[in-house]
Amino acid sequence: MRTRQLEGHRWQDQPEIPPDMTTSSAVGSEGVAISASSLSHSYQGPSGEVRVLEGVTFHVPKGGYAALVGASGAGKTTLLALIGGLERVQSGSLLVGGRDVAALEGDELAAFRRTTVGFIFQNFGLLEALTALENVELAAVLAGERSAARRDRALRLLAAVGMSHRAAHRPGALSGGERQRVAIARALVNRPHLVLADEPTGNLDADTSDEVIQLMESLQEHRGCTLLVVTHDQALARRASLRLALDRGGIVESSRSATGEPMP
Amino acid sequence: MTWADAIRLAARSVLRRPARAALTIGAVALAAALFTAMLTMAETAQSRVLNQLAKGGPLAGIQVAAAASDPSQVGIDNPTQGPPKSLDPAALARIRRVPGVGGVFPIVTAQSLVIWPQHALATTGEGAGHGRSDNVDFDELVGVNLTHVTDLPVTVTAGRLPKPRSLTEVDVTSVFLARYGITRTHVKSAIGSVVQLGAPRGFLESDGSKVFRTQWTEAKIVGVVAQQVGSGGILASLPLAQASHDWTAAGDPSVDPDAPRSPYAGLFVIANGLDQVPSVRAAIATIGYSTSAPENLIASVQRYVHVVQIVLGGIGVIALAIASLGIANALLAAVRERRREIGILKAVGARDRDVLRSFLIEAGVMGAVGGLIGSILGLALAGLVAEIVDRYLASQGLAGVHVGFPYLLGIGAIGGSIVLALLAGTFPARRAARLPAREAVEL
Repeated sequence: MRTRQLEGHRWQDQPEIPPDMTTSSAVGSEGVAISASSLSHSYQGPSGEVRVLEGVTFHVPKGGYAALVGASGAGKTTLLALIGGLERVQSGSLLVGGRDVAALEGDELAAFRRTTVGFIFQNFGLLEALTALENVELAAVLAGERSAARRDRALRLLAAVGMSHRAAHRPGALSGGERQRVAIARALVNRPHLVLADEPTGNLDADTSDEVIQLMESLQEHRGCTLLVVTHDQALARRASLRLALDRGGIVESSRSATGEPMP
Repeated sequence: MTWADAIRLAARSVLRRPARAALTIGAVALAAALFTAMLTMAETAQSRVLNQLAKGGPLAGIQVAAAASDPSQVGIDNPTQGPPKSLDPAALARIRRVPGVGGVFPIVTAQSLVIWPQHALATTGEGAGHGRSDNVDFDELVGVNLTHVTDLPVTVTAGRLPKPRSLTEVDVTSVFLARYGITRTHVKSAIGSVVQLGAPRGFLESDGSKVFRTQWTEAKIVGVVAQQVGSGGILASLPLAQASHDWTAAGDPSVDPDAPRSPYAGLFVIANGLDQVPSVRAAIATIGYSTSAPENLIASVQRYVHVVQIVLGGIGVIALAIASLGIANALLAAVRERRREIGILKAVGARDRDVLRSFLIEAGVMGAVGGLIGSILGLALAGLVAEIVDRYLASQGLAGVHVGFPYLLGIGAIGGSIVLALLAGTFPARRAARLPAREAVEL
């Protein structure tokens, strides 16, 4: 067993779980990247409480590639925000990498977002004041990492996403596909175990979407991290080895390919 | 996040809205300039007024007259003097030993006939032809140790001082020149003129007749001064005045009973600080000599000027506070505009205090840059005003003002701007820090 030291906690790399272990009854906490159990969430709307998630239970194995699908308003982004520690868990349990996300607060939660997860946003989420290289460096900057080391890693990541030549450009000078490539590089800069992508192709044309999807899949496979993609693009969802369908706040379908390969 | 990274990030954010940043910094700079300029001018005005009161000498200067003290006059700035009393080296030595005395400078005066050059009467100054037609006058030669002139109430308004041991150079006052029709604005024209100075001496002849014989000296005017060490219109080196004095004093008292015979006409005493002046004056009065010093006037002026400084400083601080509200407004607008950006920062791992620090640095940067620009502008403005005042004073034949560069004031203005900016930035920064990370996504 390999153990990797993270800020104040340990992420335990476990052996791969069998392909069919995707339900709560089938898996324990070991080898699971995300484990949600009876997760419920609501917002206070203008006309009262709005239940967004209702008793959601699912598991994503470590190193897996999962797609979260559903119609608009189904609760996909809320679920993603809960997993990524952007939103506080109200009820139920949510373990990410064996850690209880609900128990994290303050600096611990910030460290979790900084090192355990990497975000890819639909509208890229790049800071306009920074260059592509500085945007990629940002998460490492926040971790207080030395300038030379983080710059070197950011440059290598930009090279990996084919954006070396645009390192000194600000987001305003980049196309949508280029911005998303930079965003992917930023999501990976702190070597997260889990990458969360919220409609990563939502603002891209078909050709660029294909390129971005292939890039994410390639990096996920190459780096062995877990990838959870929120999408309502069924074609994209079929490429994942695990598909979770949300409807009216609940998981209505949890299916995966028997081989661990993309589903037909 | 390291401080260097935080500062770099904040600077980028400030530069992201250059027009807004420029306006905000401009407001701080104007306020800091106002603050610095007003206090610098108040400080300059104070030094000018006090310098005027001290006649160019130290504030703690005391004039000791060759006259007896009047006990009822002790503590009065300009007391009525008692009867004449010889002031000699022994008295000087006693006064020098008085506690609180930092220096004692003798003043020697001598009566002198003055012959102003005839050609100068016709050619110098705009008043030429309107002055007196005769060129002989009577005045008093005032001799002091010119190596210590900075400690004496003497201010050069044109030219230079005579050399400390010169027997052929003198300075004159503008009052002296006015007698010959040379106005304050043309005093420089008198420099280089040669005057004849005659020390008179009374003789009782063998036949009982009384006659005066005069010892003549030729002296070149090398400068014009405002001097208050004595009442005479001619400032000379101590040896020149001493020689004239000794010649006159050695005359027959029955012929010239008014000839000054006290070795020193007075002393200029410097106390070790304004607070020492009363005790030194009291001690000198005990020794038996009359003193005068503008101590009460100076203290009153200092109090009033201090009040003016407080008022002007207060106006400057209010201006800075208003400018700080501009910073708060700019940052609040930035927080509103950058909610999503702040959410993204948190989503990628920024802690609340990272965001707080980033916004506070933005406020501090605007305060520091504004304060720096404002301080430089303020000092420049004060210098410009002083230049205008200087030219006016020079046109009036008066000594100019000296604007010092009060670096501490400049540093204080910059520091104050930063502190006020940080205070103003606290509320927006806290608001930004409390924004939830979910702002990064559209839920």
